[in-house]
Amino acid sequence: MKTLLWIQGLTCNGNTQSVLNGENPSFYELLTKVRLLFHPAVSYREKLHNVVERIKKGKEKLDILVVEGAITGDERFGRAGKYSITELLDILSRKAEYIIAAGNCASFGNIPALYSGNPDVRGLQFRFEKKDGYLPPDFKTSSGYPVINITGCPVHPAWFTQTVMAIVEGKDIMLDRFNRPKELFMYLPHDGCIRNEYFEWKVESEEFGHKEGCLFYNLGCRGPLTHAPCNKVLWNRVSSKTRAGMSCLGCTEFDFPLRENYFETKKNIGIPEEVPLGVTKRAYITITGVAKTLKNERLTKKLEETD
Amino acid sequence: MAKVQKVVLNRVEGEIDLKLVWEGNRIKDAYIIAPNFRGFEFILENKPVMDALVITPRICGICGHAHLIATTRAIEDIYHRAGVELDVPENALLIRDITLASEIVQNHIRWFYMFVMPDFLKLEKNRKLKKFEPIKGQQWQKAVDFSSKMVKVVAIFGGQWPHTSYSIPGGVVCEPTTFELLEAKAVIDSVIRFAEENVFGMDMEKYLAINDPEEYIEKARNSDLKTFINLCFKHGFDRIGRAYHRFLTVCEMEYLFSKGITKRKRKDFDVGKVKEVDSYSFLTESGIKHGGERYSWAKAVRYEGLPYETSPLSRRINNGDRLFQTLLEKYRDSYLVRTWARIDEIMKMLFAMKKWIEKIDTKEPFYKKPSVEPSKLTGSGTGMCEAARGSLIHQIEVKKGRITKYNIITPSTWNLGPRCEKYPSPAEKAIKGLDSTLKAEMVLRSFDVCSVCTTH
Amino acid sequence: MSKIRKAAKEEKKKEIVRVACRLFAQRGYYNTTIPDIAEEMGMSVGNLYNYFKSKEELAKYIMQYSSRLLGEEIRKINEENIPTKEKIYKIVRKFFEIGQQQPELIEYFLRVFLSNREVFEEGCEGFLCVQEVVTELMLFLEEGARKGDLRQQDFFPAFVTLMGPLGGMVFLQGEKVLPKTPLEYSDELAENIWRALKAD
Repeated sequence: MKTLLWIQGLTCNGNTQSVLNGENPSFYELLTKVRLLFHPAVSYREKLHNVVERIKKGKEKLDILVVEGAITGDERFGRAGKYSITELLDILSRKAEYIIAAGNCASFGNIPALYSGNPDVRGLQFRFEKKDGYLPPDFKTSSGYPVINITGCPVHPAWFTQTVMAIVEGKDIMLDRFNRPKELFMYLPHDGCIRNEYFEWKVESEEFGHKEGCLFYNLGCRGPLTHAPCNKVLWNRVSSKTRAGMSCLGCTEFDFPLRENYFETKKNIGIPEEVPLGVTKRAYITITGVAKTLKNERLTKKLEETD
Repeated sequence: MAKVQKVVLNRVEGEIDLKLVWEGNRIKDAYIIAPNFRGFEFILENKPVMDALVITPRICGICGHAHLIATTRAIEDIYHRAGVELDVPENALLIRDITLASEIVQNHIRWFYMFVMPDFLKLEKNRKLKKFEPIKGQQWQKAVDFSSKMVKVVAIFGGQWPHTSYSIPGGVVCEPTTFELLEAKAVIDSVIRFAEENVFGMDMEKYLAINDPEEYIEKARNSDLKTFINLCFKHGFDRIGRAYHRFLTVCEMEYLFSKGITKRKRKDFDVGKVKEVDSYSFLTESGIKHGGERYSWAKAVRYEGLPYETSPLSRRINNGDRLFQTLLEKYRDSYLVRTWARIDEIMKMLFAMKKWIEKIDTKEPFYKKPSVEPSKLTGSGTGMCEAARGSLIHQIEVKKGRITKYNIITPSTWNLGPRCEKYPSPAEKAIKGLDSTLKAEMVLRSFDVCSVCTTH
Repeated sequence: MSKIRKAAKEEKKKEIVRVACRLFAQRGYYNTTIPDIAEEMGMSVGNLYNYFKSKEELAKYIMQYSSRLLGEEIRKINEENIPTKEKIYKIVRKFFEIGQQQPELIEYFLRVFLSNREVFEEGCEGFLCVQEVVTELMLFLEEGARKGDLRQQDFFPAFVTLMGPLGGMVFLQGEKVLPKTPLEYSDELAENIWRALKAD
């Protein structure tokens, strides 16, 4: 049975909490397929120090290392037990067959990397867009994979547990340019959004608090610009931000904490600065003009009043 | 000579180090060290004020929703002080309470089963406790299932848990249908059944009518709370873990609790009397300082110069609950009473959630857009809420819509912060005098340690 | 249809558009008939109907044709790597150049399209028949504001500030009150538009 060790850097614990919400498989179901060496919120007899020493001495094999949280080498700002976070990584990254970055902090540095008081904060292999993480750009574990980034703030439990299942079952995991599992991150939150018809016909929400309208044009929704299957693999298996009426924040992308004004669409002279992925601005503006003129009557009413 | 021992504490939210000073076989002094620091208050500076709704929930993966509510209220307070009345719809206020309560119930279930009960497995070898074993134990698994189920309610209204930003100045972003309300209600009912059958061994109605601990022990069927209470008596946890017997609650919630402070008598709470002290903190008014006697990233926080415990127990005491007044008279603010109050709140919150959800009227609005753009705001505001661990305070200053200062005082700062010149923090005090490291860990866990909030 | 025949048909269509546009602009929409246009073209009425099923369809097509033509020209300017101010100068100049070379297109816009809205009710609602021009102007304004050259504002005031003066100038020329050709006023007008739109 493959082994799994979960360690934390600078974190909010949100990825742990999210993974605990998992279904199909749940976290404890997953742990019947892999042997948990240590998890800071779960383990009760084992101590991190002992596990690490065993791995270091080759007495314990480490198959899957999961890292939650951003990496800092500055011990004043972050430690994991008796180690600095980077000391721990130096020991474990050489031994692990696979390394998974669970969430945006371990992947890109994310919000903690914004703090100017500690410039030494990064992801495992990336710092925001650049391959300037703690591990070298060409780093690969013994399996031949780089750090597998399962991004999101937080990570979605099924994305995580199913990636571990893929490893356990020896499946090939196709990765995108940010080393995210392609078969998850080839979708956009836009795909499957229940407000899609409003997007098609350019019926734009002017304000929050309504079932009707697309949030892209005015309210900052990043659904058509973000890689994540949030409306395919639903959150908590019941909904998603856009389904609930909240703009997608683009939290699976490296630039999530770098952007500003999350609830407003950046526009220039009334025209959105960024347009959906894969479309030119010219094409987008053209189709918008047509859609706005050729109204879909149904979408101009409150849903309760439609035929 | 005193022996100094350093303990790294897991099975808490994040990581906490405990420095114990031993004298013989007693702990003479305890230092709670929050070693990690991310700098959220600094990161928030110069951001557009609305972006705080996205950033502050990410302080904490387990009580992030409370941060969202505190931020929302702080921004609404800026509007209020600027003379702009927001008139937040009743529906929005109800949904915010429902989602906040969902997060709290989720937290209490996870904390009790994942962090508290496994300690007793270490304390005694008992086949009957096997069901509490992490990962494999039946009760552990149920706790994970039902805590996860609970936050589906947040997802129904807010899209996801953790880390939604669906509550905004003026209301909430959702406009649920009758059927979404019914789904949320079904989730609540399901968690109530779990609580009745597993946690309390008693129907909701009966439990809520309990005024006396003996009455509960007598009437309850076998249940996890009853098991816990018996274990506490057996191991003397009704006599240890006492803090200052001073309680603070900054917000009220309908059907649940009123705000106030209790020293000897209950008084009104005044936010102006809250002061942070940084003499033992790395984080000071004049920048980051290491060395000397400084030992934690957290600051100490005092009310009228005194340390207060803030927690579900505080809420019960400030609300004048008979059951907990009795418990307090008998067992003071011990490990048993503090922990029981957290578990107790599961049932009370579920009860309130059912009441609130009935009051939602889908024909009425859920959001009213503020008449002034947030980018035009200049001023300051305070937002408070009662989070899983106790009182949470956010203070924001803005200039032309951008944050110039953001101050966060979390419940864990009250409970687990460092000492000030005169007094150790409530948790530090509660550990003093104990005779084992395990007990010290357990007493600390009775405060429901959240290191990520303690230091943010 | 062979490629050659298709190209020949397209060419013929363009010719019809030019002729019809001139006649509509001179005589007015209602005073011009399909037989009038066929006669001017030297083709049979039946043959003309092979190209356009109705006078309305022809009228709408003329608008789309002119929009495509002008849109194409603005697109070339948009794609040039030159400062925003220079783009305004070029757009204004191009507009008047087309007006000088094919005055009937502009006349048509003012005297038929804007004066007989009922004809264009279906199929030319909103910006549908002038989509290309509007799209290119949107792209121009968005880029200008993104680069910080133009002042942020709503789209419509900016659009009218840009297009209004051009129409005004052509109108005055039509009224024969302009001492000089619009092209000769081009730079001065472009400067006014730039000053009105530029960032503070």
